[in-house]
Amino acid sequence: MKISSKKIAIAVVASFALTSVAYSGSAVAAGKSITLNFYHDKNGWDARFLAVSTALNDGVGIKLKPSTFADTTIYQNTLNQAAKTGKGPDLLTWWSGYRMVDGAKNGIFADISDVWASAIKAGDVSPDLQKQFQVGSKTYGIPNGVSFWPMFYNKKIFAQYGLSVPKTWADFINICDTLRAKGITPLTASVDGAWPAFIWFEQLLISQDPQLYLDLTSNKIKYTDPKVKTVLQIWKGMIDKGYFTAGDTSFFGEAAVALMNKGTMIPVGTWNNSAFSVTGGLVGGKDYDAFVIPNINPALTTQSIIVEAGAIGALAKGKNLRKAKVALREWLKFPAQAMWADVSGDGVPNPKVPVADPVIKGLSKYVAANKVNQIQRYWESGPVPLIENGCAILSAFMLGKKTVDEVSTEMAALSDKEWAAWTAKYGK
Amino acid sequence: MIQTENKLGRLRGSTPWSSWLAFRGKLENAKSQRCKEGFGTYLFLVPATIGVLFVLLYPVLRTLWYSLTDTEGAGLGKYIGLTNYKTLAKDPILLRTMSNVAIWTVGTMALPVFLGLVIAYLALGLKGSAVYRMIFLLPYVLSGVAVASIWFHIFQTKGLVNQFLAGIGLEKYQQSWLLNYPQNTISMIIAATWSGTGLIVILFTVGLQNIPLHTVEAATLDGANGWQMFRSIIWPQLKQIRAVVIGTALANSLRTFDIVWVMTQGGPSRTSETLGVTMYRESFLLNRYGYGASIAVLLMVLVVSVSYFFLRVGLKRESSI
Repeated sequence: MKISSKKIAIAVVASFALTSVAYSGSAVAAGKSITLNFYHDKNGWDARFLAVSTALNDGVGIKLKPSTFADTTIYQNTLNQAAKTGKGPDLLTWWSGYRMVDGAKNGIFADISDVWASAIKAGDVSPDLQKQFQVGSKTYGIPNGVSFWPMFYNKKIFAQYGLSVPKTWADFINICDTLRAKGITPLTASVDGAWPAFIWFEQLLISQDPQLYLDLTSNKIKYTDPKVKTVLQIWKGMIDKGYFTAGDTSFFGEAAVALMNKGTMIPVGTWNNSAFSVTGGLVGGKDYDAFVIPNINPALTTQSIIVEAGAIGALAKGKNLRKAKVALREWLKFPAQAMWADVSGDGVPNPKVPVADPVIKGLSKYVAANKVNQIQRYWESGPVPLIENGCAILSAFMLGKKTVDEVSTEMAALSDKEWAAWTAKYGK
Repeated sequence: MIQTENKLGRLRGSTPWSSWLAFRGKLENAKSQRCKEGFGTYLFLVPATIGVLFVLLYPVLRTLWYSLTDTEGAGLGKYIGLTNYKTLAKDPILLRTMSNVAIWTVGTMALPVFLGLVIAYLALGLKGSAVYRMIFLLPYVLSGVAVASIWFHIFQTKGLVNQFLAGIGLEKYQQSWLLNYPQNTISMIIAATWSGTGLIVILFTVGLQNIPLHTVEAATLDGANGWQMFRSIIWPQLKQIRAVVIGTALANSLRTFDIVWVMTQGGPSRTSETLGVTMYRESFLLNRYGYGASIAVLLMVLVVSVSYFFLRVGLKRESSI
C-alpha cells in the first residue's frame, strides 16, 4: 500500500497536536474547547443555558449547544429513543423524583454519583437535595435550579386596596374577597395541558396538613380518606366563590404578565420569575412580590412550601460521557451557578451563591427564618401514569364536572392500580 | 432471431393464411419484447419496492409486534399475547374516543366536504373565481399546529368568539368552548374546516370542470333550473372526484391528531381525545408503547376498512351507472 506524502504530513501534524494537548494538562490550557449537545424542553431558557455555557467554557473548555423541544412529550420520546441508540444529546434536562426513576430504568441517564460526591465535599451543593435525584444507590442528575412555589402578587394593587401579605388563611380569603369585589379574579388556576390541575390540590393539602400530603403521595393513605375529602371541599368552596381564572388560562410568559398587571395572584414556581421581571419589565419588590401561602389549619406551627428541583443529566450512551460529567461538576461550581442565578432570577442549589433577585432573596430569607417546610412537588411525587391521569380527574373537578366523592373515589381507584403496577415493576 | 423471422416471413408469404401468420409473428415478437421489457421494468421497481417495504410495511409489522408486548419504548418488551387488546376493550376511554371519532367523521362530512362543494359550485361561473378559490386555499398551506394555535385564541374563554358575543350583546351565549364536551370537539372541527375546505374546493372545481359541457347545455335546453341541474346533471357526474374527496376526508377525520393535541391535548379530563391522541398519550406520555401500539393497530384497521368499503361501494355504484 502506498502512503502519500500528504497523509504522512497529516499524521505528523495530528500526532504533534495530540502530544501538545496531552502535555498541556487540559483542553483549556491548549486553547481548545469541546461543544456538547444539550437537549431541553424549557422554552425561553436558552439564555440561561448559554450563560452557563460561558462559565463552563471559561472553567473547563466545554461549550453547550442547546436545542429546545417545544413539546415535552416529543422531548421525552426523543430521549427514550436516544437511550437505545446513544445518538442524541450529551446533556439533557429531566425531572427529579419518580420521573427520574422511569428515566433511569429506561437507561437514559449515566450514573453521576461521583459528581455529587465531589460537589458535596467542596460544599457546592446541599446533600439534602441528592435523594431527589437518586434511584437506589445511584444518582442520575444535578439540580438545574431550586424553585419555590409561592404566590406572586401585584404590590401596587395590594396597596391600592389596602391589602397586605396574609399571615392567616382568613387574611388570604379576605384578600380574595376584596379583589373579587373590585372585579379582579383573585387567583390563577388552569387545566390547560392538564398538568396545572395539581397546583391547587397540592397547595391546599400542604396548607391543611403537610403530613397528609406526604402520606397520600407515598400511598400510605387513600384518596377516599375523610381528611383528603375535607381539602377537596375547601377547594370546591373556593371554586364556587369564583376565585379562580377560567380553566384554559395560560400563565407563562406574557400571559403571566397580563394576569399580574390585572392584579390576579399567581401560584407558580420561581422559575417563572423572569416572566415578570424580564418579559414584563416589572420591578421585583416594587411592582410585584411573592409570599408563602398561609396555613388553612391554624393548629400548624410552621408553614409549608412546594419546592421543585429540575434535573440535568448525562446520556448514558452519549459519546462524550466523560466530558459531560466534567461539565456537570463544573455546573455546580460558583461561576456557573452565579451566572444561572443572574440570568434566571431564580434560586440555585449552590449555597455559596448569593441570591440577587429581590423577590427570590426575600422569599429565601423568609423560608429560612421561619423554618418553612420544603416539600417536593406533586408532579414528581408518584408514578407517572398516576400523576398524569390524576391531573385529568382533577381537571374535571376544577371545571365542576365531578363531585368531591367522585374525584376521591376515582383517584383512589387510579392510585391503587398505578401503585400496584409500579410495585410490580420496580418493587417497593 | 432475424434469420428465423426471415424464414417465417417466406413461409407466410406462400400460404393463404399469410396475413394471419404475419399477425401471429408480430404478436409473438411483441410478447417476447414485453417479456424483456417486463424484466427490466421489475428491476427498476426493486429500489422503490424495497423503500416502500422498509418505510411502510416494516413499521406496520413492528407496530403489530409491539402491540403484543409490554414494551415501554426502551426495549423490545415481553410477549404478552392479546393482553393489550383485552385491556383496550375494557378501557372506558375507548368509548369516549370512539364517540369523538364519530363526531369528527360526521362533522367533516357535514362541514368541509359540504362547504367545499358549495363554494366550488358557486364560484365556478364567477368572474375571478380563481381568486376566490385561492383565498379559501390559503389556510390549507398553514401547518396544523399554526391553525390550532390561531383557533385556540379564538375559542379560549377570553378569546375572540366570546368577545364578539359580548360586543353584540349576546353575553348569555358566552361559554368556555374548549372546556365543555362536546363543544370542544365541535370547535376543533370548525378549525379543521377553516383549514381543510380550500383543498376540497380545488378538488371539486377540477371535477366540475371535467363535466362535459354538452350535458349541461342539453339540460339547459330542456329547461332545467339550478337545483335540477345540480341534482340530475352535476351531482351524478361528480362521482369519481366525490369518492376521492370523501374517502380522503374520512381517513383524515379518523386519524385526527395535531389540531386536538395543540388546542386541548385531548382535555379537559380526556373529553376531546381522538384515537390518534389516545395512542400518542399512551405511547409517548405514559411510556406504554405496547398499549399505544394496540391503539395504533385499531386505528389502522379502522382507517383501512372504512376507506376500503367506502371506495368499494363508491366505485361499484360508479360502474353500475
